[in-house]
Formats: sequence, structure tokens, C-alpha cells
Amino acid sequence: MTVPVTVVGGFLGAGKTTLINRILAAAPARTAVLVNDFGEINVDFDLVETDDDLIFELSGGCICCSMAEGVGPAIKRALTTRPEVILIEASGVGEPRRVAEFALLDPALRLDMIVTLANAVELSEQVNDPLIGDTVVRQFDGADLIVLNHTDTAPPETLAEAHAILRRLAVGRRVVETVAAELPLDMLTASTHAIFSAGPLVDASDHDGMYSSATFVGPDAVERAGFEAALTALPRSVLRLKGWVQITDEPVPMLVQYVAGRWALTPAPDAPAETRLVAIAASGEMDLAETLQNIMGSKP
Amino acid sequence: MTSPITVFCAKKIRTMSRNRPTATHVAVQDGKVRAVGTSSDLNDWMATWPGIRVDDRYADKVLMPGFVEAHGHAMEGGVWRDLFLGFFERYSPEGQLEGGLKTLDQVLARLKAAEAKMDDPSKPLLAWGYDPIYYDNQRMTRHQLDQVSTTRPIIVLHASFHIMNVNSKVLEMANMFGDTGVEGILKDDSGDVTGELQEMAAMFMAQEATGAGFKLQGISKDELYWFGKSGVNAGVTTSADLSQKMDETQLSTYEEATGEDGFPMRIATAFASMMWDVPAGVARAKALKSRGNDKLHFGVTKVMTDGSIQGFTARVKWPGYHNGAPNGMWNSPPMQLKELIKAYNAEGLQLHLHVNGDQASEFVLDCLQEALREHPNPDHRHTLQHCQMADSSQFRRMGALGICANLFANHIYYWGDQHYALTMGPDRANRMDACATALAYNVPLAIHSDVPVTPLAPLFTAWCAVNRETATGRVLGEEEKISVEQALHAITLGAAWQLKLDHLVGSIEIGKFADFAVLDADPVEVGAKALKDIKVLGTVLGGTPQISAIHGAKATEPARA
Ligand SMILES: [Zn+2]
Ligand SMILES: [Zn+2]
Repeated sequence: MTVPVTVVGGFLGAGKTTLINRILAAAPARTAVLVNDFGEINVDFDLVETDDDLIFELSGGCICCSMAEGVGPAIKRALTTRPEVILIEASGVGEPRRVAEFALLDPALRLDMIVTLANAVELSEQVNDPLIGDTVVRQFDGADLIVLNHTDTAPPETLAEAHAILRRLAVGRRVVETVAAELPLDMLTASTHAIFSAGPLVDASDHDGMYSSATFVGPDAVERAGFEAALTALPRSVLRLKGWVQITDEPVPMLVQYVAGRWALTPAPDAPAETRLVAIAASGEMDLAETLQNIMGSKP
Repeated sequence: MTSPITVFCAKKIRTMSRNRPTATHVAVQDGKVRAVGTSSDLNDWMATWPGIRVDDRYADKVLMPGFVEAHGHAMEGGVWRDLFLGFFERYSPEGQLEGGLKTLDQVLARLKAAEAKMDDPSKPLLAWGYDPIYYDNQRMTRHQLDQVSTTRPIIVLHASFHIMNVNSKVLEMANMFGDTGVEGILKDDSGDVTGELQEMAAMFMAQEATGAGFKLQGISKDELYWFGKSGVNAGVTTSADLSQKMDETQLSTYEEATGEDGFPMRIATAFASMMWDVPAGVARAKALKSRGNDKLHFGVTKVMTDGSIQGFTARVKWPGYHNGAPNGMWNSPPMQLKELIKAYNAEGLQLHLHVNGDQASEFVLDCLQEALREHPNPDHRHTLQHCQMADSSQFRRMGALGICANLFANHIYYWGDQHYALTMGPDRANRMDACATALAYNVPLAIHSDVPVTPLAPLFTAWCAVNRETATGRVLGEEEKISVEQALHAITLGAAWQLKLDHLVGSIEIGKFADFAVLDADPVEVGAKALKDIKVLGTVLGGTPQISAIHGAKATEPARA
């Protein structure tokens, strides 16, 4: 089994540590975390709540150091602890896309999601700052999800401006608004094993109808070509779709993992012989249940 | 019971001290200079100190204070394990002339020759120092490397250390064919994977898959010796090593090597602040100050800020790169850098800050000014390293703040033509590494090689600062030339000052280490043009002669057409 990797990026103050803690709260016990706090003045490891032996520090510096002490070696060390999930914090100036390439290349890993946080209050000032503007902009490159955070403290016109900036700089990317990086837990978890056995995850936070989720369960089998075409055609607001699906001509159920337009189908011999899908979208309005029905409607 | 005194007599001794600029005899006791004088002084010394031994092996040579390299890396001792593919010639620590590969065909031929000599057919062939900027940016492809071998993994690391070329075997082993979605695995217009790998992920995974590892970190005792040998070959008796993590494990390797009588060079290792969180780093840097020995010195803390100009990763101000390339990269967020700079300065630590572009140097000046206002740090000797693009206003500020500049004079020769045409354009290329401006505004000056980025050879570095000639012979910025005497100061006392070692090395004076460079001619007499042609026969370290491994006539690189 490949280990899913989530990369969290964003400039200082966007809320990376908060989001990492939320992901950890929803993630399996054996989640390895690669944190990037060098140079930060008040390092507070207590902020990141996980077992000490699953925390791996990344160091800054140039590529000479990165080769020896950067993300690659840290991933290798993390893998020796047999984690179920790996969570990587990109550095404040790091490009999450570049970090994610490790997960694309290492056969032991699978890229689950790239999340880039933006500070709703400061985004406009940041992108116009000659010192850091281009750095902040590059961090949206390749993001599966952009989390516009701290919306509670942003005046309406500032928030509107932040959205306008993201529409311009991160064309077509999925953007959600949050206060204190509160994302639905279903959206954050990379592993699937607990989803159905334990029912949907309990989500304590109120998301003001900003998200919708739906589940599809049935005995149906679908044809691969039609199913793949339906996945490709999913609306942009669908962030995550996961579960098992029966594909005609496949001897075993297939695990489907869809994140923001990127998806994989892999054999899952231990999965129940039925189709179970859960989807979550960054829109309170869309009828996600209908969307799922449509996908499954492409049955033979 | 007094220890014995040895007197070295020479054709000339250029001491770099104000009180006795030239001499012919130097008396050495306990590894230190006991007296400096002439043959008449020798008569007095013999009368005063019975049992004096006169060593005339340098009777027809010129002695100078051992050169001080203010910015080098001990990595120099490790890179030579792998094959050097440089455009320019360079000596290995063992005195082997390598590189000088003027066409891509010569690069491939060198690889083939090295491959043919390897016994174990599965051992990866690793090479470094390849720089496509000299070959009209022709891209090397996997198909070319496949001509060298299709069965042995081959990895060619570029001089920038940020890009590599690999053959098909490596791509196969690392699963890099097909649709990986990785932008760092380059493809040509037809979609063919070219074998050029960029960025950490692809480069790391290629090395992992082949079991290959470049010696970029983890300095061993042997490698420290090789670094020292490179110093002997260049007349260097003290070199900075910028920088190392210096945890206890690494420290013990350094202490063991430099503690041995035979270790051939002094090393001033800077502490790598970026490899520690700030509170732990400050504590470690302070603790290091009381460690080391006569040949191992601590005190400097290195800070990284931006990248390199030729790699287009330096942070530059308006109007940006001459060819329109996007601005470079910060090593950490500027606000975080400022906090780090303030924290180290507040504890009285000395900072050497890597700044290549003018936006980086300006930002660092802002940070230092604020840090010094909040926590005055007398005689701080904070130093801007490289500082290649600073304009005169920045140098005036450095003068006002007492900040030193260690300028990368070698860049003028090695990349000057590229800076003129590509990276900075004529105006800024002409004022880069502005040694004369620095001196005009009383900025303490040193010049450096950044070995292994360019070869360790302070006389060559001095030649660059004095002549400002590019590899094709273009003069960059007549007004920024400095005199031979100023350049010699920069590679001795100027560098020693920035390392806070000027009370120990950098001139030949009573009480200082008996560290000399042994030359076949007097740099002042031969004049500006011939500085780089002076032959270095070795050094004397703490009174002990060290012999250069470079034999025969000095190779001089012909100017390029
Ligand atoms: Zn540097
Ligand atoms: Zn350097």
C-alpha cells in the first residue's frame, strides 16, 4: 500500500500550524508530520499535537543542505516508522508543488492533496510587496485547494479583494473560506479505511452551508470508460471523492481516490463487493447526491 | 629551557605589516613569529639566541603572509571523489589538472574515458561542475549520456548544484519515464524525457534510486585533509568554511583532524544558523566560541538569504534580470530572517550573510541597522558575503554601519560575460563586485573564491579584482579596479579581519602564527597583469613547511575566443 501524502503550504501567518493540527485530529494515529520551523523565533512544538517520534524536522538552507537534511531524507526517515499517512508542511517560502513532487516520484508514496493557505487580511498587501509578492504567488501553483483563512477579521472589501486576487493568480483553483482553518474533517482525511466502517466522520464545526457532502451506496457496477469520463467531468467544486466501486470486468472492487481533479483507481481486494462513494464539495448549493447518481448512472 | 628558533631566509618577505613592509629573514619559535628582519638582524639574533638554526630553502623565493580565504567550503575536500567536468581548468587537491572541457563533445569524451576506467559495472558514474552556460546553453540529453553507457547509471551535477543530467539507465531505475506529472523531469517538444532533472524531488529520487550520493554534506576527516591540501597548493594557510551544522558529531571530526600535527591548514568554520531553530542555534553558536584549537576557529555565524545570479535565484531590485527572468528565491521568509538576524546580533554574535542580489543586500542592511539600533554590538564585523550587486548607496550605508564586504571577485572572470549579456546587462555588470567603491566608503574589504564554486587561488582572485577581465578579455568597470597592494591586503589582513583572526594571521609580525605563502615572485614587482601567473610552491604553517602538490609550470587558462 502506498502512503498518502498531504502537503500544506502558505506564507507565514496564513494558519499552517492550525490546519496541520486539524488534519492531525482527523487523521489516523500513525500520521508522520514533517514540520518546517527553522528560523522561526518562538518554536512551539507543543502546537503540533502528535507523538514525538512521528515528528520530523526539516531544515532550510540551500540545496546542498536540502540534499542531506531536507524533505527527501526526512521522508525516508518517516517511512521507517511505517506511517499510515504523511503530512508535510512546506516552508514559508517553499513551493508546495515542488515538495509534492516527492510524493509523485516515490513509489512508496501517493500524493493526496496540496493545500495552500492564504491570509485573507494580508493577501493583498503581501502580493504587492516587492520583497515577497512573487514568493506568495508561487505558492498557489499546483494547489488542489486554496484555503482563504482568517476571513472573520477581514473587512468585506478586503475579502472581496482577496478573492479577486486569487481569481487572477490562481485561475480555476478551488478556493474555500475559513476562520481558523476550519475545514470539514471528511475533506482532510486521506485514508479511507475508517470512513464507512465507522460511518461518516463526526464534524463538530458549523460550516454555514459552505460545503456539501453526499454518500452513494449500492450494488451497481459500472464500466470503466464511462466512470472515468464521469470523474473527469466532475464539477470543479468537488474537492474529494473516495470509496470503492465495482467495475465490470475487474475481478475485485476498485479503490477510487479523487482530489480536486486528480484521481486514481487501484484494486482493493479486501473491500466489500459493492459500491460506496462519499463526496464533498466546496459549495452549499450544488446537489452532490444528484452528481453521484449521475456518475453511477453511467452503468451498463 | 627555551624552545629552538628557526630562521627562514628568503629573497624577499612581503610582511603586510605597516612597521616593516619588507624583510628577508623571519625567526620562528613555537610556531610563531619571533622576529622579522634582514641579514644584519640575523647576526644580532645569533648573538642573542644561541643554537639558532638557519633554513635557507626559500633563499630564492618570496614569502608573504599565508593567504586567508574568507569564503570557501570544506566541501572542496569531498567533491573530487567524483569526476570534474568544468569548462575551466582546475587542480584537484592532489595536483591533478582537471576540467578545461571547451565543447560538449569534450565533456562526453571525458565521461567516456572515466567510464572505461571503472571496474564495477554497476557503480554509478558521478560528475560535477558541468555548466551549460558556457556551451551556449546547449542542453545535454540522456541520449548523449547513453553514448557513454546504457548500463551504468550516470549523473552529471551542474556547477549550480541545482540541476542534473542523467542517462536513460537512471531514469529507468527511478521510474521517471511516462506520465509522472513531475515538472522537475524535463521533456522536449516531442514529449521525450530529456534526462535533465531540476529541483530537489527529482534530483533526490534519482540519487536514491541509483544508490549514488554526492558528497555535499557530512565532511569526513579525509575530506578535511584534502581541503587543507587545496589550501597548501594555493598558498592558503587559513580558510573560512561557510558553513556547517556543527553538532557534536561533526565537531569531533573537525577537532580530531585539525588537532593532528600534520593537518596542513587553519580552518575558520562558520556556524550554519539555518540548520537550527533560533534559540537552540544561538546557544550552540555561543558554546562553539570556546571550542576549537590553533587550527580550528569558531565565532562566525552564517545566514543564507537568496540564491545565485547566474542561477537566476538571487533577489534583485528593479529592473530585475536583464533577460527578463523572474526574480529569485529567498531561503526563508524575510520577516523570519530579520528575527533571526536580531536574535544572533542581540547575543553579540558575528554574522556573515550570503547576499548576491541587491534586493537581498538592501534588505539585510535594513535588518542589521534595526538589529544594531536595538542591541548595539561593538566591533560586530558583520559581513555581507558575495554582495555582488550592491550599488554605491548600499556601500555608503555599510561604511556608516561598520559592515564589511567580502566580494566575489572571481565571478568577474568566470561569469562576467554572462552577467554582461544575460543576467545583469552592461550597466550593472560593470559595477558588480565593486571593490573600489567599497574601499572609497571605508568598507573593510575581502575578496573570495567560494571554493568549490570557483578554484581556491587567492592570487588569481586578486588578479580578478585588479584587472576585472572576463574570460573573453572584456574589462568590466574600469573604475572598480583596485591596486595590487589593495588586493593583496584583501587576501591577507582584510580577510583575517572579517574572520576576527587578524591578531593571529594575515601579516608577518612578532607574536603571530608563522604562516607563510611561498611564491616564486613578488606580486608587487610582477605587477597587475602577471599576478595570476605567480607560482605557489606551498606554505609554511606554524613554522612547518608544506609542499604544493602542483608540479611543473603553472597552467594558465587561455582567453576564450
Ligand atoms: Zn553563498
Ligand atoms: Zn559559499
